[in-house]
Amino acid sequence: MAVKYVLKLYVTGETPRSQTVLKNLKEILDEDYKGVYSLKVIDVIKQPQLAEDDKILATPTLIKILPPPVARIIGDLSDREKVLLGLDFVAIR
Amino acid sequence: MKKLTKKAVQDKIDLQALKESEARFRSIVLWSPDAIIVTDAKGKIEYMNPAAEVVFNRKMESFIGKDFGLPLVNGESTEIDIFRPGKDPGVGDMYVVEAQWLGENTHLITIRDITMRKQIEEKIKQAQEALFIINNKLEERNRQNSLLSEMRELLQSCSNVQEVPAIVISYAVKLFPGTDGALFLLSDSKSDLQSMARWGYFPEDVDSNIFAPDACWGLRQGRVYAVEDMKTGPICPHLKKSSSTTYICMPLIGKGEIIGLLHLGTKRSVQKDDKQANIFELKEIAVMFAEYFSLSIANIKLSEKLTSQSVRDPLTRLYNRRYMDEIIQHEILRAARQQTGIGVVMIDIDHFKQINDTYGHEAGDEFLTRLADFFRLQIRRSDFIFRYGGEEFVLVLPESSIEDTYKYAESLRKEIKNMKINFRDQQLPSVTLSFGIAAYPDHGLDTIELIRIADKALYMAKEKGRDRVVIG
Repeated sequence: MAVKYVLKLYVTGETPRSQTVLKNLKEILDEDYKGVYSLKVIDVIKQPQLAEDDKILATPTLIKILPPPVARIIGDLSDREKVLLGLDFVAIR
Repeated sequence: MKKLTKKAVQDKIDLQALKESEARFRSIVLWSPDAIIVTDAKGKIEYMNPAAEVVFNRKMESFIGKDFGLPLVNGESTEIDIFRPGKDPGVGDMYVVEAQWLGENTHLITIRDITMRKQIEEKIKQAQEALFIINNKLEERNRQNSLLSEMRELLQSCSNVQEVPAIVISYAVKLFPGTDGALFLLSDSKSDLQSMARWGYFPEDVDSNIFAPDACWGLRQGRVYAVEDMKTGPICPHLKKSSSTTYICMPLIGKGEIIGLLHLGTKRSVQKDDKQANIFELKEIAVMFAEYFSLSIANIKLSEKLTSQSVRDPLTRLYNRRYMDEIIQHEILRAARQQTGIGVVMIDIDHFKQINDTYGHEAGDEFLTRLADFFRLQIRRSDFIFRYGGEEFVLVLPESSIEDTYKYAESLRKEIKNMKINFRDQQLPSVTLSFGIAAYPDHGLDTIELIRIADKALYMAKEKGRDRVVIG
């Protein structure tokens, strides 16, 4: 199956917060989007230039690159509905 | 005009009030220490206050119109990481409300920099963890201490050295978990060490368990010898077969002298695992273990010596009269069970007084000592010889009839005449012995009766001219 959803997740260090948000996101994606998404996790401590280029102010920040339009949400991604809504996924489904 | 002026004045006042009001609110936003960001409904930044520039370490102009991100919370706060290029990341407490601003739906985002508070909280957490570890160590130390005092009490109630190894093993296993070890005692001749207790996978071969003191660096130096890595450190020759990778050898010191050795070895794990025995952490407890053990073993040996002194006559080293009562009593019970007899022979040296008078008491003592050696050589392993007092001895022959006893006494009577005793380059005259025999069950059923009959028979032998055996 072709990748339809391209996502970037910015986190800060390998902290409990980073681990939690990654776990939350994977749970959401693996439930309905398994095999059709690609997720790139970026640690702003290791790659600050990428964060600067993307004008990141705070993390966790999740950016949806594809499908358009580009959407960006901020927070711990614990609320599944809000995440899907914020990413405009619901409309696509 | 007047009316108009009035209205103009009113307008002016209203405008003034509005300006004042706006200035008040503006200054709240401008001077707020919390970062305030206003985004549109999709998360695009419409306004940032000066505090936001400080918190994020970035210029406001470059961010207006850019995407902050759609905050997923409303009416509550959440913790976020603050990214500020060129500086350490911070932690912020983000509070979001959806509000109408200039006639459109917006998010009013307030971010309080709580980096410092988080750092302090982290420090407190670390301090608490450190305290927890110390607490655990204290508890472990308490457990070790109570084990040590248990062991000491048990060792103190040992009546002989044979009881010690089982105690040592059971406590060594609890006190030094994960170790392969052994406890060695120095032999009386001080020529070698022998293991009295072993635990873990300490090798069982002879060379590992019996060795000369100079085969151990710890014993040579008279202090603890520790090797952290057996690949590099000089290894004690007595540990050739050890499978440990790290070990300590701790000499046991009792009354200022080396009395033995405590050896602890373990395989050092590559990872730092708390469950793996760390010999160097156990060293302190090993020192106490060694001290308690050394003290206890010295006491046990001393009390063993005292007991043996109280059953033996100090001059001849033969058993004494007190012990004789115990032995005869014991043999009578055995004979009754097995339906056999016991021969009891009372022996007296004829004219012993003359030796004392002619050659002195020292010669007499020498004579008694040599006579004791003679008896020890002559009697069977199952027989007992006692010094009854003065120049009187009692021979006890278990499982013997009157006839056996008589024959045996006769052989002793003849043999003694061949004994030559020298004292200070002078040969003492040979002596004769008189014998009185009593037998169980023929003459009596208890010690007192048997001794009384044997004594009477001895008296008869003396009366009849000495150098003879008389049956009671």
